[in-house]
Amino acid sequence: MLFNSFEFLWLFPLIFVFCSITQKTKLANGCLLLISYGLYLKWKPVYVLVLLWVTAVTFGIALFLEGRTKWKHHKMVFVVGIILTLLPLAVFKYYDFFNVQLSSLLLSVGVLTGLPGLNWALPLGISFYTFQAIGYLSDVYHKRICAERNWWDYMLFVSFFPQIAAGPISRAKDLLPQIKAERKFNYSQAVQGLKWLLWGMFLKVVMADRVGIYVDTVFNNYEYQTGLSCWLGSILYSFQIYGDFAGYSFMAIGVGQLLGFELTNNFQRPYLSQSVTDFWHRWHISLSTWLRDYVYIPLGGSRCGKSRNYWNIFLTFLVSGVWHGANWTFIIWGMIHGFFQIVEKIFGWNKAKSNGWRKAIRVLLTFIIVNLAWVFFRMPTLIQACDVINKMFSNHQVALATITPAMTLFIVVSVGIVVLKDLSDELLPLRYTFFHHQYKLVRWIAYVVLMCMILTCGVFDNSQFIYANF
Amino acid sequence: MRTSEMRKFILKVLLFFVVIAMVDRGFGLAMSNVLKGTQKGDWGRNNFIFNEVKSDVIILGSSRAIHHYDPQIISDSLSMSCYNCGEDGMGIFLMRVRYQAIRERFKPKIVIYEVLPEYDLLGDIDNSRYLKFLRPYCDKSIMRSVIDDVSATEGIKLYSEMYRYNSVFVDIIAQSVSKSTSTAKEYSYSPLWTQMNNNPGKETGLERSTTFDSVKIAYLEDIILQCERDGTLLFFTASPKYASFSDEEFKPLKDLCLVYHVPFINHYCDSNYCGNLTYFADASHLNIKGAESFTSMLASEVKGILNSHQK
Repeated sequence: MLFNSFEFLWLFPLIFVFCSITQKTKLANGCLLLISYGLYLKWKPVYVLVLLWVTAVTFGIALFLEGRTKWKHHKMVFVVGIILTLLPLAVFKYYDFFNVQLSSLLLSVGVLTGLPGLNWALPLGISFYTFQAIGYLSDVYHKRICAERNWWDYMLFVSFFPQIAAGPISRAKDLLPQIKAERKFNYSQAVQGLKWLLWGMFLKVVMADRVGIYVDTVFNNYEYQTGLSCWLGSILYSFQIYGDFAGYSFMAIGVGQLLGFELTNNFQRPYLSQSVTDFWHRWHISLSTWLRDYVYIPLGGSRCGKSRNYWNIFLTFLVSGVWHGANWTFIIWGMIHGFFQIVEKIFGWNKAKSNGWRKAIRVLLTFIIVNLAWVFFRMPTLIQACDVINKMFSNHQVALATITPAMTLFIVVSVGIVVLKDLSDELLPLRYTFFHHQYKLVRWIAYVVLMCMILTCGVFDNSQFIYANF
Repeated sequence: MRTSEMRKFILKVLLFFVVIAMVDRGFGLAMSNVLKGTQKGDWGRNNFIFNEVKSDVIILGSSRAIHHYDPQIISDSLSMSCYNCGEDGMGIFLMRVRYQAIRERFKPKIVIYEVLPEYDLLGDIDNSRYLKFLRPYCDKSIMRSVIDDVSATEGIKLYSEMYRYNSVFVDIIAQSVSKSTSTAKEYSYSPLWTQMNNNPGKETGLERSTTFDSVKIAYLEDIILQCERDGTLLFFTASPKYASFSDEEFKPLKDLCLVYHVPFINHYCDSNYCGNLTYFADASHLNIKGAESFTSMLASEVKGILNSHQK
């Protein structure tokens, strides 16, 4: 269920009321499971089989592994489990990509292959729930947690509707106990949930979708744009993807809190990072910690030689790039992030924190690197991404893609609000917190203004979330 | 404890929505007054079309109508008053309402409808984008029926008065205080002055939907029937498009024209225009040179048909 859809508006209050008034956890969980699967079925019924496959494989293998820790084939079963879990992801997301690459490689040496393309739609949230399930399996294998014995609770863990489309990727040790525990209505948690929901909605429908109109105008016709226009388009894309993804995550957290769950926070003002390493501590936190725990550390992490450590960083971000999409653009995007983190590690910039103007310069430089990397993320092909970057540096014409004055106003105001909020939360966390202000009137004015902006300036075309495509 | 907390939470949520409803109502009242007084720009023109237009010849259609049809040339050629009701990015949904609003107070003699398949015939992912000029007037029944046909949920969303002015309130306010001297009555034709300088290649139409929208086609049929009842002569037209080479997408319109004997003046792939950069401002729009040449040709064709009717 998309949080910016009409369906959410009427269905969620019903779910909230039912889950809040029911005295029995099992009944509430049953309702949540029914809703989670019902919504998945509604999207594309047949793809529920993929969700069930991932759930059943990880549930079954985790149970099997737990009882046989000293068995000699223990590791092999775990690896088989990982492969079986990744199988649908490999087929739906990567098959076509590898097929095309292989065919063109073989064609270059004169071999014509006839492997058919699949062209199947990607199951909603497959990358997210697959990683969540693999995380669980790995935790059981490494004895960090016990295997879950309740099938229905585990089903809900994998399919929990607020996070299935675009995360956050929850850990079993965090979410499963909450599913099992008796959840009592908590007033302050519910109020906080509504605040997350409101702010997430603002980020998505007022900022991201509005800014997206300009970004599409520039990048869909980049051949006719000037370098300045491409720069502005790329900067606005940085804000679009932030608003879109952070907006989804905040809404997921908000919905979770209203239902009595605490989900992982995914964003911590990422564009105020002082280094690319710092950026990954603030952007898509649930994925970066997942990659750290299940890819980087098993590879050896930093407890090895320097060159091996750099290779581990590079490989981890290569996986991050591949996870985002089966396209060279995502792979290059991941490699750029990996490369800059290695450079930062070599010079010791990854841990150093600066203040004053040094901090401002570091934040600006990090934003420029991240911003340029987003161009690869946005453009459909590597050639187009390189064309845009080339244009950004070689075309010095001073002209911008035309948009209406009203649209300009909406973009300036919405981006301005987000920048000011993030700056004040970062630099003056206790002075300008409108949502948590000591005076009730100030808090209420903030809520009402935000809601009015959503209604008058928001884009309500049921647009998809960018990360829901991953 | 739990129940009292829950009650407190629900009461506060309700209070929040009461406050929003009050602000919403106040905003709606203020904007509706501003809109009523707007006489300039797109919204002034929208008001003018809904409330005042009384011309013998009415031109309907998208941006290709407002940029391609010079009412003065048609007026001079047919010796009748003419007003162009075309609108950028809009199609049959807005045009049907505009025509209905006009015919409720005045029956035009001739209606010329410039048809663009994307907006008037083919299916769209989301037709609600065509409602921009209708939402603020949604209390009127003719608007409401179109809104309900376009989207089942739109009618519920429109309970919010702020939503009615979503994205457009800045334009309405700006146009209401505009110092521009040109009135909506004069704003009936908007020629494009630039000339295209690059060849975009042949249009394939692949990027567009290939299914026809039954609601759009029913609305076109509705306009035919209304014109028939009123004794208004209806002409469907298609002006040239730079790189078009096929008019297959007009098939349902051609079928309608055959059934109801409505003339369809089709220059969509006219080789005298298509591919000639000097006539175009961009791949979809004629520039002033192309528009004037096309309008003159169309006016004489309409005149010819009128003369044959009179005989």
